[in-house]
Amino acid sequence: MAGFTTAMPTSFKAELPQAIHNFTTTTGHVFKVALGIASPTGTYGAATTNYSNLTGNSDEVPNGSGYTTGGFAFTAAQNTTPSTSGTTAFWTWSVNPNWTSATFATSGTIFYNSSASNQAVYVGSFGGTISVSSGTLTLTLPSNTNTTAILRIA
Amino acid sequence: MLVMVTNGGPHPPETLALNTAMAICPIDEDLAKTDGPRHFKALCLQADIARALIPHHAEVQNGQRNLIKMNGDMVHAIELGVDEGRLTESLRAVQQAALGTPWAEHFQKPEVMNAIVDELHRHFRTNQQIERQWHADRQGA
Repeated sequence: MAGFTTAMPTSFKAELPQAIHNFTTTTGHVFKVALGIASPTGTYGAATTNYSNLTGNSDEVPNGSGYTTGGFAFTAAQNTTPSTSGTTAFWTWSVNPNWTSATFATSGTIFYNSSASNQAVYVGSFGGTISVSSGTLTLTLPSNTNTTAILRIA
Repeated sequence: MLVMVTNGGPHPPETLALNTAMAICPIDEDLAKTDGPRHFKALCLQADIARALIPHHAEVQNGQRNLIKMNGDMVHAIELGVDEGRLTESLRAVQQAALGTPWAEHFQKPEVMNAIVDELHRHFRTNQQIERQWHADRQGA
C-alpha cells in the first residue's frame, strides 16, 4: 500500500558495517530531512534505500511555499556522536528539523545522508496528513535515550 | 515523532513548552487502559512541566529576537545554544513540577537529569533556529 511506514531502512543496517555513514559531531556527514506529500504514490519503509526513491515517484513536497526540495539540512555540528547504554547504541541530532513560512501538506519523512550518495537512514510516518499554512512545522525528535532515540541499534 | 504546527507565524512559547514537556515526559498510549489514576497524574505532570517551561521558552525566543535586532544577518554566524544558567534553571523548573508526584525521585537521577538537559537544549536551539529562519524569510533569503 502506498504511503509511509516508520522504519529503519534495511539497507542502512547493511551500510553501517561498511562505514558508509559518519554521525560524529562536527566531523561527520551532513544529513537531510525530506518531506513526502500527503498522498504519495510510492511505498516507503524498511525497503526504502535512498532519497531518490522519493523523488523518482515525484512524492516529495514541491519546491516553494517554505519548502526547498532536498529538505531540511542538519549541519555536521548538529550530529550527535552515538552513545551506548546496556547493549544499545543510540544517536540523534541536536536540533529539531523545522520549516518556516510554510504552506504545504505532508504525510511522512525520509532522513538521508547527503554526504553519502543520499542513502536513507530513517523513514517516518506522521500517521496521517499534516497541513501547515503560512506558519511553522517542526518535527520533534524523540529524546536521545537507549529506549527512545530516533536511531537505535540493540 | 511528534509534529508541531503553528499556522500564521512562529510557534508561541506555550506550544514550544508543551512540545518540550511531551518529549521530557512521554506518556505510554496504553496507560489509560491499564491504570487510569496513574494516567491522570502523568497528564497533570506533563501540563505542569509545560507551564513551568513557558517563561523559559519565552525568554529564549525574546533573547533570540533581540540578538537578531542587534546583529541582523550576522546572527547566523553565532552558534545556536543557551548558557548553563538557562539550562540549570529550566531543569530545576522541571524537577519542581515533579515534586509530590510518583516521578519526583526519577527526575533527581543524574542520568535522567543529563537526558533532560540535552532535551531542553535541543528544544531551545530549535526555538532559536526558527526565529532566525523567520528573520531570513522576511529578508527574502
